[in-house]
Amino acid sequence: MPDVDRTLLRENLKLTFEQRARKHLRVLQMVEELRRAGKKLRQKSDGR
Amino acid sequence: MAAILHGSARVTFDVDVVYARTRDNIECLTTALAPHRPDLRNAPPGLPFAWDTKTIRNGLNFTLTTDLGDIDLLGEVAGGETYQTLLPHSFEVEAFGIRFKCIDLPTLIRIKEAAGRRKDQEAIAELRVLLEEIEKKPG
Repeated sequence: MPDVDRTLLRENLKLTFEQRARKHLRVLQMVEELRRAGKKLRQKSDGR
Repeated sequence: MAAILHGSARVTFDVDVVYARTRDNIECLTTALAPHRPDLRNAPPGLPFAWDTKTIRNGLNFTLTTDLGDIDLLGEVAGGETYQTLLPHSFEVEAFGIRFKCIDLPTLIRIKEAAGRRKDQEAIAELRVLLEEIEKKPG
């Protein structure tokens, strides 16, 4: 059985449904920003 | 998204929507998504795809890209479950100013297990722990 971080789940269970969804949206926005930064970095190192 | 609403800490990049395959609902679905340029995800380039009621009626499950993001429209999920069979196992959520149905956690686990996909094993483990945590809470 893979390890599951219960502390993260317990934190989420304190939130309303909408709060959980909004928190996830913020994570997705951060992921998108990191992807853009990574792409920019790769383009820079390729000399583009 | 159901997993997120139940408290999952895992990230998901698409939304799965089980839709009722009634004539009226298919028309509503077609109209609602049309402005957001739905197209088949991972389809060969140039493959013709018409977003209309005929396409939805002739198909069942669609993995789509849209201007809103990736959406999986599912007429049927693992175990032969449909909108109608899942309805008694769902509850209403209000978020972002709208109301929608979400399946309950035991049913979500059951569907993922029925799908039998290797990639879901960790997600299922987390959902089982979530269920334990919820059942532990008083009230």
